[in-house]
Amino acid sequence: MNAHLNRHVDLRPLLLLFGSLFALAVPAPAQGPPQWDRTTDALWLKRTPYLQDGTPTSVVVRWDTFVKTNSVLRWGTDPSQLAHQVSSPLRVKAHELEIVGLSPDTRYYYSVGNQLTTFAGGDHNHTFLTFPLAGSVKPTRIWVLGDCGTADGNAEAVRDAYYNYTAGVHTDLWLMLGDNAYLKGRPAEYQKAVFEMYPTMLRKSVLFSTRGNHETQESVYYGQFTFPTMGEGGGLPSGSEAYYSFDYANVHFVCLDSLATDTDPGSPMLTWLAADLGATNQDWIVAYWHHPPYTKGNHDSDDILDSNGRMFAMREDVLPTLESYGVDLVLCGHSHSYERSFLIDGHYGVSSTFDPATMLIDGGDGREFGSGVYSKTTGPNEGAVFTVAGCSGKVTSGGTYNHPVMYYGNNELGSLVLDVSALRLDVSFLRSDGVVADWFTITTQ
Amino acid sequence: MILTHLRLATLVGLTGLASATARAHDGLHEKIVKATQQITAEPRRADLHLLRSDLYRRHQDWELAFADLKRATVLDPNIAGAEFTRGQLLRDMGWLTSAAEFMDLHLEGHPEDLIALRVRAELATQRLRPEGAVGFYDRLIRGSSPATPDDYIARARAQLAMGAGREKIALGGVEQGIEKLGDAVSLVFFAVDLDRQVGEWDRALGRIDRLASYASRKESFQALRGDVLLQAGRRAAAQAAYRSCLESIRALRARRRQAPAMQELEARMRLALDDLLTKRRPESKR
Repeated sequence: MNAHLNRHVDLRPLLLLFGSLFALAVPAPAQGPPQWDRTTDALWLKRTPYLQDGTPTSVVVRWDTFVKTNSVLRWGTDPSQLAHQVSSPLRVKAHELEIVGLSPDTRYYYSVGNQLTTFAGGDHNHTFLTFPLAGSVKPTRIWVLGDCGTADGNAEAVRDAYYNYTAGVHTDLWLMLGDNAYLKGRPAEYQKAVFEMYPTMLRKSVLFSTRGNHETQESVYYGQFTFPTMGEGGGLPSGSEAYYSFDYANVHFVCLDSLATDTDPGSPMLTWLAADLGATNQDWIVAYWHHPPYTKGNHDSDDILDSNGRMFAMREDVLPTLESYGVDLVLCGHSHSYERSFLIDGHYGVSSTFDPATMLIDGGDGREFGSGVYSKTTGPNEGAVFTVAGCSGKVTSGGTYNHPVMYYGNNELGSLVLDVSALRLDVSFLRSDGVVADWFTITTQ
Repeated sequence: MILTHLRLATLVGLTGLASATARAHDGLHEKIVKATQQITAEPRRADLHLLRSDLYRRHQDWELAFADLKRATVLDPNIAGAEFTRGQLLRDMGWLTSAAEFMDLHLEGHPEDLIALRVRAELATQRLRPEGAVGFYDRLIRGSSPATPDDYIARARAQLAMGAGREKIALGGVEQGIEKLGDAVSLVFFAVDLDRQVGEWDRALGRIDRLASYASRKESFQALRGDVLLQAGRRAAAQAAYRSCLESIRALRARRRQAPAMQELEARMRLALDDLLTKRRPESKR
């Protein structure tokens, strides 16, 4: 949405100087947005407000300013009456404040600024919906982007296709599957690929992410995000932003680190994973990380040397635990293509070891008006669907797309849309031209 | 003609192999090609040779990696990162003592390099020098903001490897991690294991109960409670915990109850209860 900023000379620092003088001369009212809010937005804010670490009763709001200043975050249920505020006197450029004591599943409005003025908000564009209570049933829409960090027309096309698709339907949360900002995940790359690419979504829907191999600067990646490490979002405490879990309505989300965290049996991540999965009572378990366990796109999950063996590690070390607790859907990126599996279970070897007789739970298309939805009933080993969607910023040729677990595979730009309605989970692959190229449904009991 | 076809086939085969290998190494070949192009254009840039040395190391081309490293240090004897690169190269080749020496040299100039500290700590562990590993993990944990559960646990394992009777010291380090990171599952479970090793049964039970308060399902924590109580010799309480676990499993919805992990837990609980009922022992006085 802010792409136009890139094509012109950036006058913001100069405007900021005048804006600062103006702010000092004309103190803003104690409550509510000042009249010139939209102007100050561009003057002060390097990064638009973005929502993090949502729970039924809290949310973290972050924003960056061009210069160091203190932080004030106001909120309320009426955009013209932001009656509450939280603040920090620390002069910083990267601002992070948490609002607590909120009501579940409730719409709030907010503004960000400093003690003198409001930079942005106090309008219908700066709003969030708190998470519903865990276990509650609510139609939920989730947007999933993989390898979206190209900051170019491809990413814009994928973004705009989704914005058109979801017009009128609130995005409850969105996930990034890693490689969010090419080439190395540096701050300037994140600025263009994420913060200037998705400002509208960033300020109204909570974003969660997992780290990809192009997030080479660990401190940059973790420094700009706030993920739930203390079980505040509904899972068990992991103590790490690399792997964590949270609940949204009746879905339990599990984020794993396929890049840099030990996946050996008995490792801290796997110890946490087993405990976390054994502690959730949610209807759905959705797991996500970067390196796919199955792919024949521009990466090959059969090749131990590909990606330092991380695809092997996730398949052999992690999948058995996930499946033993009944994971339903796994979301990955890394291959710049879209691939998605049948409903399968227990396949931990290379593709030639896939045995349909024992591992293929449902070999249909998973479509209601096709061969039927994937139905998980009450038995053990009911299977999961695995998706690869590292195609939200670019597609790369070279894949064969013939992994035997996959129902669909192609190198098409797009993103995933998840719609959860009680015991039904619909997944759509939305191409950048607005066409839903693949879809499937899982039902459970 | 046949020869031409053979050559063509070989060429196609090699091209295919190169293509497959390029993909297999996650862009490593492309990076090496790019670095080589840059070196061709600017052959006297030491940093490019150092970069390509590291790429060759990752590709396990040891000789080429050493050649580039040598060239880099000839071009710039004071180039930053040469010791670190050499240390990693020697580590990957299995020369752990030499690798540690070069990492030490690097850390003399860059004492807060967290990546080097972690590599050095791991080298000390691999070389069966747990005391040294503890020191490097100490520095790593102090310098990280914050350190990871993995770092605290690795340090505790190194402390335990230093010899018998180190459980309380290791526990202190793990508790430091819990204080910093909160009730991280992996740290709490590690602390419970250490409590059990030193017979601090109630402290272990307290940790389990605290962690269970985060969970909407309790059966795995009830099972662990039972294990601790049984180890403490509190057989009646252990029996009650195992029974609670079975009741919790029975109360789960069918889908969760029949998940393989729950079936396994249920079988283990039944076996444990059978053992308790058939092998009667006197109740502990503790």
